[in-house]
Order: sequence, then C-alpha cells, then structure tokens
Amino acid sequence: MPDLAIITHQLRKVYGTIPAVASLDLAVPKGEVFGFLGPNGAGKSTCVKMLLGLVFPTSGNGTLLGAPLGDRDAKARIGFLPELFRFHEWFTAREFLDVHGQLCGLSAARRKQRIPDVLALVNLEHAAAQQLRTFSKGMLQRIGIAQALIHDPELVFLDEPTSALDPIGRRLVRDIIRQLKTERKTVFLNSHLLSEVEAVCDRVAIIQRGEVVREGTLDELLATQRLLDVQAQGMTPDHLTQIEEQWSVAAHEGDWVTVALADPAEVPQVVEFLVDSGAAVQHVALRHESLEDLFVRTVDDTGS
Amino acid sequence: MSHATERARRTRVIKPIFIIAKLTLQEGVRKKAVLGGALLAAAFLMLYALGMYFVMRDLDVPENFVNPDIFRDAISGQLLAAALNVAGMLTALVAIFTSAGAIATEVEQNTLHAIVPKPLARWQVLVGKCCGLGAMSATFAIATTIALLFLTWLFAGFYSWSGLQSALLLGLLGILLTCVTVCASTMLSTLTAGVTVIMLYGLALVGGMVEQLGLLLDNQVMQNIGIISSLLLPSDALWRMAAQRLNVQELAILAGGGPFLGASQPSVIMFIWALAYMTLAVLLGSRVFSRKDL
Repeated sequence: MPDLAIITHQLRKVYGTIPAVASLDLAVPKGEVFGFLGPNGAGKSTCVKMLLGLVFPTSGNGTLLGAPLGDRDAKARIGFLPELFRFHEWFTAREFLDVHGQLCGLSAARRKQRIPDVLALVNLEHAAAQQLRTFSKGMLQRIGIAQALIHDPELVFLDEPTSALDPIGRRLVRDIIRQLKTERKTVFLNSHLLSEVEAVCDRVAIIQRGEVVREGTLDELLATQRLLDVQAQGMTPDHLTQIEEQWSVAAHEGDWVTVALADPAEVPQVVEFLVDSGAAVQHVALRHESLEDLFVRTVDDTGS
Repeated sequence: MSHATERARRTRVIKPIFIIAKLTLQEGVRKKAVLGGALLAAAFLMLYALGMYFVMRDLDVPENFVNPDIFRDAISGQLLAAALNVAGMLTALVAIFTSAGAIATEVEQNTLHAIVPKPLARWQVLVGKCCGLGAMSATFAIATTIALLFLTWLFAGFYSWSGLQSALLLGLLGILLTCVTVCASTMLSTLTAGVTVIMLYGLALVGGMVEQLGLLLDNQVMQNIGIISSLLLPSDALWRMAAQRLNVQELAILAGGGPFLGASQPSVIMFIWALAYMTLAVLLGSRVFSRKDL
C-alpha cells in the first residue's frame, strides 16, 4: 500500500436538499501529480474546499498528510491556489508574499530567502514592488501560485491554475508542476484544460455528481481503448449502423469516422468491411485514446 | 508544562492574531479609511475650535453672577459635553462603517480562500480583525476626545483631568461597536450588517434619552425602557459614563442645564455588562464564522 497524501471516505456535502458532493472516496499517493476532473457542476470545487476546510462536510471524513481534515499542523504543510483568486490588492507582491509567509509560520530570515525564490519561480521578480491592483489576471494567478509555494509545502492544491494564463504562462505552470514532482511533492490539480492534465499528471480521477466514476494512472486509463480514425468517401448512415453493431463509433463527421477498438488487431477487419461495402477508404490512423476522449466518453456514459 | 512549550503555545495563539490585526490596520491605512477618519476628525475639531473661540470672545456674563469664571466654565463645559456627544456618534460611524465588511466582504470577494487554509484557526482571524479595527476606532475616539479637551483648555481655560477617563470610555465604545459589527458581519451581508448595527445604536441612543426624561419626570416605565435598550446595546450607557467623567454637571446646572448631560450615572454593572457584551459578541462571531461555509 503506497503512502497516501490524501484519503477521503464517503465525503458528502448537501446544500439544503441538494447534494453537491454525493460520496467522495479518494486515495492520492504521496509524490504524485493527481488530476481531478469533472464536468461543470460535478462538485470538484466543493470537494477541494472540503479538503481545505473552507466548506464543512455534511458527513464522511478524510485525512491530509495523515492528519484529519482541518488539522493545523497539517495545514502548515499544504499550499493552495484558489480557483477564484482574489487577494488584498493594495499589497505589493513582496508584501503579499511576506504576509502569507508569516501566516505559514516562516521566520523573517526564511521569508527573506524564500520570497525572491518564489518570485523567480513564477517569473515575477520585476514586479516585486508593484501593487497587486496593477497586475494583469495572469500575473495575479502567478503570484497566487507563489503564495501557495512560499512555505515549500509537501502537498499543493492548484484549483484551475492556468485559467487566466497565456500559452507561455501555461508552460511555466507545467514546468513548476514538473519541478514539484521531481521534489517528491504531491500536487492535486483541478483543471478543465485536459491537455495540461494529460501532460503532467500521473493519475486522474473523473467525478460526476460528486462521485468518482473513473480513477487510475493515465497509462491504465488510456491503454484500455484504441481509436481508429478513418476517412472514407461514400460512407452512408447504413455503414455507420453496421460498424456500431460490431465495434463502437466514438465520433463521426462528414467522411470521417472514429471507431473505438478494444484490440488493435481489429483494424484490418474495419478497413475490409468498409472496402467490401463500397466505401473508398482514403486515410486510416490508429491512435491511443486521448484524455479528452476518455473524459467525454466517461461523462457521456455516466451522465445519462 | 515546560517554559519553552508554554511559550510556543502562546506564540501559536497570539502570533496569527497579531498578523491579522496588523494586516487589518495596514488595509485601513492603504485604503485611506484612516485618512478619511483623520480628515473627518480634523474638520470637526476645527469647527469646535472656532465655535469655542467665538463663544468665549463674545460671551456676556449675567449681572447676577458673582464669579464670571464659573459661568464661563459652565458654558465651556456644556459645549465640551455637546462636542463629546458628536465625538461619540462619529466614533460609532467610524467603528460601524469600517467593520461592516470585515468578514462579509471578504467572503463575498473570496479573499479568505487564501487565508483560511493557512495554519491558523478561524477564530484567530476574527479576533485579529476585531483587534485591528478596534484599535482604529479606539484611536479615533481617544485622539478626538483628547483634542477636544485640549481645545477647551486652550480657548476657555477649562480643563478636567478626569476627561482622560472620558477618552478611554469613548475608546471602549469604539471597540464595543467594532466587535458587535464584526460579529454581525459573520452572519449578514456588508450592507445589512452595517444597517443593523446602526439601527441598534440608534435604538440605544433613543432609549437612553427616554431614560433621562423618565428620571426628570420620575416615570419608572420610561426609565425601564432605557435600561432595556442599554441591555440590547450598552453604547449609550458607555457614552453617558464618558460624559459624566467630564465633571461638568454641577457647572451646567448653574448655566441652566443642558441636553447633553445625563441626569443619571450608569451603574458599574452596566460597565461590566458592556465588557461582557463585547466578549459575547466576539465569542458568538467566532462560533458562527468557525462553522461558516466559504
């Protein structure tokens, strides 16, 4: 059994009579980058808030770094970038990090050392003396990441860390997450940008209506299915129905059809079927299912 | 428990409160709330100084008064009591307006999302805010009252050392209203919290006036109304204690009495109730905030 950074057991949150999170069971190993995915309204933010003590669970329990949720000593080892990042904008960047360093219990000497380090990490050394009110949205998100890392935490929650960033900023955040991973930190990444998640995460969980509907390492999840993209002229709805009967149509648009295959050895059969039925096959490509494909399929399967 | 452990425990409790209090004070300075309060106080004091100057220059002492100095003291004492009344109201406004959003605005703007997950308890956030905001309104009240005492001495030569106690009592009024407003801010939106405490303050003010009239008319029902309103919010009782400390009642009677001087001195029990009320407000606010979903 691996050492776990996050464990939740039937964590549930109900607002009035509406369940925001039905029953969350999670086990996140230490040192991994964990992607937490789900469609809008699936309860992701509520889950993160429950883990961080911003929202109180209706029932269930959990631990962070081996301590019960809300434990003050454990909180000193946790960093958090909120989704709706709003900070006291009258601070300069340096003052802001200094206050958050103090709140994390860092000594003056340690803060003096850490502040330039984290400012450099998020590429904001030039803005150290600038008030946050003058920052762009992207700069605010980066200073938010800096405050989450000021005390060198073991476990970092990043709630939509790239939502306001341009491609360069996104790459910067990707590099930061990779660096945290090399330092054996645990990262809990809540993001809608599936390409980002796919690029950095070891393991993902997809939640729907506050319950984990799929979880595993990316290799495990994406290896289960292959997708065959076929371009064939003269393809009719009848062809599609027949393909659907034997395999599964993952997507279809114009001359293009994507067929989900359990075994790559089935590729010749699909092509043979189309050729025999009179379609002019022009392009065939076999690929792994992307995280986006998996996400859409999972949400479609469990959404109905 | 060893000294080192006890010291660490104390640091763990006090340090986060100190950080939040400092943050709150800094916010007051940067957002120019302190500057606004200082300008307001300066304008008020300037008007008071002008008024006092002209009154003292143009005052005609009635012929039946043997000692003109006593008459001048009586008039300046009345003016001081009236000014203290305004200072009390301004203190109330400063305390309520600066504290109404202490928790509510931060919840609405999500700024607490970066603070609460840090290694501190929610009650420490609330107490820190009460300390920072309370320090601001108490400083406003004390500085304004001392300035009033100074101006009265400067233009009228009248002074009252116990007036310093008035300053402290008015400072306590500022802290009381801060704690009550911060408590309301954990339960209500910024606007509703501000309006609610202003209404409560107004209720206590009118209740206090009814009580004073009840004393003059020897009407027990009116006196009881005042006592009940002081139990609801002991702000008027604190102001009356502050006014009594000016020691101008007897002088004022010589000059015909005045509307700003209480006929009765609130009891020590009411002072203890004011302290208990403040503590209860902080405890209730902490309890509500500690259970609030953010």
